[in-house]
Amino acid sequence: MNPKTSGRSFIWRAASLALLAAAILAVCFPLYWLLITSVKFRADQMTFPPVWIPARWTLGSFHEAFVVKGFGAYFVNSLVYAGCSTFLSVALGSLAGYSLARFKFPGQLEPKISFWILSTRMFPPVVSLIPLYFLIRKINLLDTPAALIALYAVFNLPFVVWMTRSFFKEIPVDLEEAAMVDGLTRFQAFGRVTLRLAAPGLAATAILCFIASFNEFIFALTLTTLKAVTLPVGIAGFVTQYKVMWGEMAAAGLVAAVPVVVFSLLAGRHMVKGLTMGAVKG
Amino acid sequence: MASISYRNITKRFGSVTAVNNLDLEVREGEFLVLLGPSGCGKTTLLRMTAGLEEVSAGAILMNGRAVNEIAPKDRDIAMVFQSYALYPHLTVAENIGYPLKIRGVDRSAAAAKTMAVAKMLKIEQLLNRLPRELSGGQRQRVALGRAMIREPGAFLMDEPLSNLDAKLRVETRAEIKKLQRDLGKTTLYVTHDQAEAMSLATRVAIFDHGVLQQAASPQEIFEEPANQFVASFVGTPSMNFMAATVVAEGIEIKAQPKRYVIGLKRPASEHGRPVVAGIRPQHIRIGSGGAASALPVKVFITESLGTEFHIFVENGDSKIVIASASPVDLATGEMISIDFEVDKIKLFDPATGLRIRKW
Ligand SMILES: Nc1ncnc2c1ncn2[C@@H]1O[C@H](COP(=O)(O)OP(=O)(O)OP(=O)(O)O)[C@@H](O)[C@H]1O
Ligand SMILES: [Mg+2]
Repeated sequence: MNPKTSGRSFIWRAASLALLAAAILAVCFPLYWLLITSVKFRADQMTFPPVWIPARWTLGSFHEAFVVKGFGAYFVNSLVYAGCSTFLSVALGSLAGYSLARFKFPGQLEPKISFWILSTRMFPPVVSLIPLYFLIRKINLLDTPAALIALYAVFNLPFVVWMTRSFFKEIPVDLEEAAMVDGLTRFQAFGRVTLRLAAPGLAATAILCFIASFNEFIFALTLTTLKAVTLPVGIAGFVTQYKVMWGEMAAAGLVAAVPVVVFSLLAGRHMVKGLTMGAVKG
Repeated sequence: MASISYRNITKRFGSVTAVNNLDLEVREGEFLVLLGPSGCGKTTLLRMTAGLEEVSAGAILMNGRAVNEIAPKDRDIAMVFQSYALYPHLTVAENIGYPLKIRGVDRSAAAAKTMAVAKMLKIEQLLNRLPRELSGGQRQRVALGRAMIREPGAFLMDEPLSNLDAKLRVETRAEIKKLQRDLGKTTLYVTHDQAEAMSLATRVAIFDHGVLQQAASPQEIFEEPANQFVASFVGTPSMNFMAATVVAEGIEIKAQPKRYVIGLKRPASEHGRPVVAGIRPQHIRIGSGGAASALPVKVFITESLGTEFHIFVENGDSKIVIASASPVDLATGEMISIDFEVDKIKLFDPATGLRIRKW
């Protein structure tokens, strides 16, 4: 290598490392700030210049949020809604995705149906907020888990259908057919071969659904008042008319971030494909 | 064991007719080989037999019972797919044993049987590998093993040996033949390889464009082809065809420098009828020239296959291939003369391609 290109590549390396460092800082700093704010005493929270590394720390904010204000229940609500709605949308959506991937539709209708399903994602859900509010009030489901679980499941459904359709399309039909000749029904072949092979993709899809439901704010805010409140709505409640309870907000926010971070790490691992390699000729 | 009857089977994919009005009886214990060019409907026929594809019209009977509406798992057949279709998440042993696992066969009995099958296919040292860690030929043998481990009424095999090397192919071919004779299972077997078809089949069914051309023993297919397609499809090199006309002395082949007549029995009523004369390369002799029955030709190229030697010659516009069992020493452009084993000549109708059998 001549010196000129190696000099150039050094600059490239330095630049890309600097960019990477900036990105990491941008992502990690808020998390760090959340962490230290949650363990600071109130007096240290809003000083200027800020306290970067608190010399004294306390779990008072956690106590206030989770014991006094009952955030544990909100946290459980959020987990349950996200879990149930994810289960529903993945169970129903994967069946729809399978039928779109495998069955013949009359008149080349399959791509059109698939696109129509995807297109329902294109319009901002918030547009339907007011009509949905009236609808849900009419059927007496305001402030109930059922309302949010059903809504989250429906919002995630098109995404699940679209994702699973492409996963199933990638799995050779021959494998299912071989299983059927070997002695399974079509449904068993779907469950024991196709689903099994699509599992990594399904897991990733489920995790993304979970995170979306877990983080959802505007519907939860509008459709709940007391009993069915979720964590994001509860956290927003720390901004009151007179003061902002930074410490409690940070404590609750930190706990809320835990499932999201854990699942994101898991999703990254599951996204890795390659399981179907070697199944067919070539 | 099962007999399979196809009654007026037609399969259409949109405007493509993959199988056209097929009537065929596969007898119990028979080894029927399906032979034909790519896209002639062989795989489609197997898939309809397995129940993976619906028929557009007609009925498939197994042991006399219509199976059109019966699910693949209840048809009592085992299939080897053209694409292998191995379960990528299971090891070789699990793949082979999967049909037994589905049937709830006792673990140790299944393991013993898996081992026996693997030994027979010489893949016992691969049992713990995943399909993606195998070569094409090894995958093919695993797919065979998965079918063989069951004792179905019929085997359906879609080109199960196409990816094996020549030596292994001959060995496995023998294994399949022996297995089929021992078990006496009805077998439908698709192949492109004529040698395979001839050595395995009790009967060969030849297809073209979804239409059955002839179903007969290998010997009969070779010696008594029903039409020009069968005659040209079977045998290597392909049969030579020459345009000819029935004349008083026999048939006259358009040749240079002068008319060339082959003496054949012929009815006077057929005089002037155009025909196609077919002769296999093995039934042409190379002469020294000069004899009255000899046709002068120019050597175009020669090739050696080790045990057989091909000479490509031409006379005017017509090209002829000769197969000789002994080496020949001929140079391109050399003039030689050839003559035909007259009783081996087959005549075909140029319009329909059908064999003209009796005169
Ligand atoms: N699912 C399908 N949809 C549309 N056309 C099809 C389908 N399956 C097969 N065909 C068509 O039917 C015809 C027969 O196909 P088939 O696969 O049976 O051929 P084949 O004899 O097995 O060929 P090969 O020797 O190449 O495997 C082909 O023209 C093919 O294009
Ligand atoms: Mg085929």
